[in-house]
Amino acid sequence: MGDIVISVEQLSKSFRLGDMRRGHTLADAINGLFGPKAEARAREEAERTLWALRDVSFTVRRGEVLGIIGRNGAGKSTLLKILSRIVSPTGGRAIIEGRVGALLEVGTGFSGELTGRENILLSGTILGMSTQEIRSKMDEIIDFSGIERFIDTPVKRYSSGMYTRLAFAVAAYLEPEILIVDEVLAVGDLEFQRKCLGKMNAMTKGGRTVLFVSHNMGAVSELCSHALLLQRGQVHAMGETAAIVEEYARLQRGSEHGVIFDENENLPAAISAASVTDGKGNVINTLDIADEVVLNVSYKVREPLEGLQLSAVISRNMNEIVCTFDTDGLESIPSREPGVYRANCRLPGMFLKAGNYTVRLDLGTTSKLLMEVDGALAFEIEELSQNTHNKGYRKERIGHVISPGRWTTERTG
Amino acid sequence: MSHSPANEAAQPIVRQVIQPVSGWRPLDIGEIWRFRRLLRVFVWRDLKIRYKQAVLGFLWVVIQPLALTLVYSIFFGYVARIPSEGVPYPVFFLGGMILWQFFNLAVTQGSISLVAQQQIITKVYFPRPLAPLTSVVSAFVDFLIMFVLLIAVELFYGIRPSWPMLAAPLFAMLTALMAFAICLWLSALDALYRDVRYALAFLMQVWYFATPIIYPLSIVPERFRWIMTLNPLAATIQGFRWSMLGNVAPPPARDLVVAVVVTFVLLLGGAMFFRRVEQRVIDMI
Repeated sequence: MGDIVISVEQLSKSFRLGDMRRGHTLADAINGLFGPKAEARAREEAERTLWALRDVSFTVRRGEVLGIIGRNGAGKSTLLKILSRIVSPTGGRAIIEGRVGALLEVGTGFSGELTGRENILLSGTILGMSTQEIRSKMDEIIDFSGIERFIDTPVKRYSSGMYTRLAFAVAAYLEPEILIVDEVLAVGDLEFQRKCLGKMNAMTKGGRTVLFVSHNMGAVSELCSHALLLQRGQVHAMGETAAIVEEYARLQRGSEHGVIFDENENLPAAISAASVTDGKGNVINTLDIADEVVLNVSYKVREPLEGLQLSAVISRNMNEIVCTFDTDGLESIPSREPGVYRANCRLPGMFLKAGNYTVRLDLGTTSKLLMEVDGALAFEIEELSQNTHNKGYRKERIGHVISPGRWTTERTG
Repeated sequence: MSHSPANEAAQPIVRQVIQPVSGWRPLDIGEIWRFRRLLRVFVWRDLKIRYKQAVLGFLWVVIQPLALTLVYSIFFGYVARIPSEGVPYPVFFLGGMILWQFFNLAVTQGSISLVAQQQIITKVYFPRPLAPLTSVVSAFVDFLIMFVLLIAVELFYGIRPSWPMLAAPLFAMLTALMAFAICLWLSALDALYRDVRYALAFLMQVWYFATPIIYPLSIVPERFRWIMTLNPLAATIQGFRWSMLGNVAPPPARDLVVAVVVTFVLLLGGAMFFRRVEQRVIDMI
């Protein structure tokens, strides 16, 4: 116990943004060759380089559960992908002692056509286990997942909850020395989440190491002894979980004046600022369940655009729930002349349930997505003015919004 | 990374060093070997998916070449009277076609394998050359079945296997290596530029006719022979026929040497190209 199993030294990863946007056909590549002059291209390239991680260093000891927290886009997923060898770093290095089992996003790389049982075999083999070993754990895995009835159904027919259940069971029971878990507990019901937390706890008792990424600070606090806070691809802080979670909360509050985005001259239109306010216009990020929630977005249009749309995708505890367009209700989507615009989206009180919300902002025309800001805004709704303990919309119940539907019951016999 | 068998007690601690990769690197054959069990599971999955939705399932591996042989024998053997080196045209055709069929299936599946596997490639690690390799091996399983079919058809026509048949695996191996080499190139290219998959169908069609499958090497006019020398598949198929069909003349030794050299050059280049772009590809897909 106590020895270092993961040692990360000045790990960096950059993506070339150009790669993602163009270059999917040969014609693009040829255009690229004869396009701008080499020098201009190099400059352009530098501008398009996005550092997802920069000089990240830390160590993890055997048996430790390290929580990795930070806002969306802080580099958490990139870090996990490097540690599980899916992408290779641009600089620095990481030394890992032991087998790594990764549970990234939903599913450990299941194959849709195969049944649950067959996918257990596939995942186990990827982890380097023999068929006999996998067979010997098969029953336990199926039992833990709680989806016996569907185990011989192709996983493409699974719901995301079932998928996650199976993925977690596989990753946990195949017993890698190091388990990497990325934000999977957001899916699945409370009972299963409990089960997973319990299993992870048990694993660390057995000397295994867990890296746990989550937006759920409750789970991080409960499970992790230490935490690492990433901010814009760099280590912002690392230490005892309580202190780090506190620091994270402080950072979140730091955005109380809303978010201001860097100018991007390359885009014909770009979001410049966004904030959450209550109905009276106070910038705030904890609201009462009865408060009106107003999303304010400013954007700048540089050239005339046909059919410019802005949409806000609101997620609660990481589940996508509401999608609104600023042009909602209009017969046609307007064209926008150059200028600065401000759009508001008003959500009435007693509509969103208590919980943690994040907002993704998308700006685009009908044919092209210009800008997508994941986690642009975050706010929290608390049950301050309402006692919800006997209400169907209390925080813990399933569902994300408070429905206007009402029951009536009459005696008919 | 050494994913050794996970026998808890006996398991040594495996240490992985993750660092930037760059430049031209050859294929890590040792790593692929360590992942051989995964290759087996991938191949099994491939076969299962390929034949699962078909009522006749695996029977198609036999029905397809038989039906093709029938059609070609009528039009090219019976109507057009294309010579067939002294063996009945159906045997002649089948003897070349099954090797082509193997090559064709391996290349068409292997070329899109990286993109087709992106679900899994972006979620877990395994040596990526396993993706095209899987296509080649699973096509080879089909080939083995067709091989048995060929022997049955030969016996039906009264052709008894002879000693040169021992050389048949060598020609099949050469074809497999050639297919793998091309898959390495094309799967990486396809992930960068989807043009590949559209061009491929046409390319394979041309290649099919530029290879002596429906006609014998001997009817190719002397001034076009150089095309056959450059086409590594021509000598390979001729060699396969020579080993399997008894009477057929062996391919010119020079052509065979060229085929082997071309294959290994393609394989080496393909491996380095694949390794060079795999990381870029993964950042992209």
